[in-house]
Amino acid sequence: MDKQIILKNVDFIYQPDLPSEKQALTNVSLEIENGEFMAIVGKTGSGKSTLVQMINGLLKPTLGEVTVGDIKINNQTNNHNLSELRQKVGMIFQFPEKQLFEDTVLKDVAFGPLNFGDDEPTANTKAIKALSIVGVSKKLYDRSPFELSGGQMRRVAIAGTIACEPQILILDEPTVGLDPNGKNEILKIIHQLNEKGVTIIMVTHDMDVVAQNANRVVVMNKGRVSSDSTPRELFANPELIANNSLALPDSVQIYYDLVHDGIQLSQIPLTANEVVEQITQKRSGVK
Amino acid sequence: MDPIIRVSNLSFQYDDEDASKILDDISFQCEKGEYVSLIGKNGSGKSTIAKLIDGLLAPQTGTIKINDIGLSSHENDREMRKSIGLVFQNPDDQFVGATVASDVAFGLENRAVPREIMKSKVKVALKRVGMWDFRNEMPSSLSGGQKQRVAIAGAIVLDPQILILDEATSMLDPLATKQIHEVVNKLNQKQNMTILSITHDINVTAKSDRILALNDSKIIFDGKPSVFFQKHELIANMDLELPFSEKLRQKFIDTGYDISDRYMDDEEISQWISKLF
Repeated sequence: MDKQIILKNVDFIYQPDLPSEKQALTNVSLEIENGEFMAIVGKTGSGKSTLVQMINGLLKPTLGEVTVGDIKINNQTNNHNLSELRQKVGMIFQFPEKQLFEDTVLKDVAFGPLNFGDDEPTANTKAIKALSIVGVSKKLYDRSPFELSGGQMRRVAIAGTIACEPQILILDEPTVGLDPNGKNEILKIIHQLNEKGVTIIMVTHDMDVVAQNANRVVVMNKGRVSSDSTPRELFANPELIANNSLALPDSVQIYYDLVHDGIQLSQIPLTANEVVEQITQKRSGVK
Repeated sequence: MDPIIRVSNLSFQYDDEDASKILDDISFQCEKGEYVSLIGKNGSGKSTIAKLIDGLLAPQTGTIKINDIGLSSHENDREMRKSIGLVFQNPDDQFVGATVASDVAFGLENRAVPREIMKSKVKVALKRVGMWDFRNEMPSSLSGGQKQRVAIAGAIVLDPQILILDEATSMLDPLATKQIHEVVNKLNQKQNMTILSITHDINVTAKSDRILALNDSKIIFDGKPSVFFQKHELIANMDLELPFSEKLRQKFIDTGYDISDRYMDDEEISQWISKLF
């Protein structure tokens, strides 16, 4: 498989050589393949957000090197050379609706492609495609984005990033503050993009989201990668979970409650369905 | 005994011409020491109720009484607000002090409380939320969960009878959320503080005495959490999600297991599974 993103021995220091200097990343090496759905978890201040900003060149490594496709970023890289990277890597921050600014929904979403050099008809076509992916209806195209509900605003903001047709999409806590329905809709959109081949890198605190979506989860601790595994492998390590202020999903909690009662299921269940399947399997074995 | 909060026939709409009613003829009451969750999707009017009870908005029709005194004249509102502490969603939006202790003291300073009394009240409040060790830190250096605990201390230092939490944990990670709810449960049980918790997270409502569910500007459910969690259709219509243990109970039923027809939490359902073997 293609190694799409490679971080090699990356250090990052905020405000080097000042009294306020702070080392945010220490010797981080990661390889991410095309089409992965990777979750990044860890405490506040563990380096999650710094890490993802390395990948789209918002921050440049103090030491080491980041490679995205055939673009290399190190401390010598000039910002002028990063436009191609920014188009390749879409970034959605927390509360992306705060970044809406145009006077209509369509103009707001078309802004990105226009900025990357598309002519107006092409930018509008891309904007309309992105809005249909996130499920914003045509009726809303000419409305002000600020008149929309919270969930709709967030979808418009996400459409603004998808309209630039990124190959890699980075999301920092994309569902915080949404009700369950809004949250599920956003996750469905992210899932569909991933199925179309977009690489997803998502910073999250929500371990249910990790359990049900990611194929890989990286735990950051004090600027270092402290674990890199599948979600199931991570949940098999309750000590690591506790040390990083993470919570076990309910299904995994039930698994451990059963272990405590002397009942060992064949593997850690990630959904309610898997719990029932495993219990049924175990009981038919018992009989 | 009179209820501590009595809301009668309350209606409200924001003054856009084409705006529909946010609240339509709402009535409910809370007893002293009760822990009530107010649940509904984004835009269902939950926060409007909090602002009306705290007097930040004025009711257009209907009445709100706190301890049997109506919220009507501005004189009353000032008195009324003293009995209510409010904690909002965003921990970064509610700090004024340079240190944790001075931030918590702010409300007392505003009321010209003598310094010695102030110091002991701040200490009690910070200890109750488990933040006394952080008293000399800058609020900006704290994590989101720590900030929210300080915000709760800033509210309870004024000895309110009612604590209103408006989505106070929706921006926090799961562990911080759990810690905040432990603090709130303790305030409710040990101090007999009346809690009104506004949320769209069904999981955090499980520990409350009562759920008020708001949908399309009306209260559509008022009763115990365990009864609410069994109203699957109602919950789906409100765009909420069932608690995990209830989803699991339903899956067991669908698969043909003979499981109790009442709601069980994670622990109870684990115990039930254990008995299968």
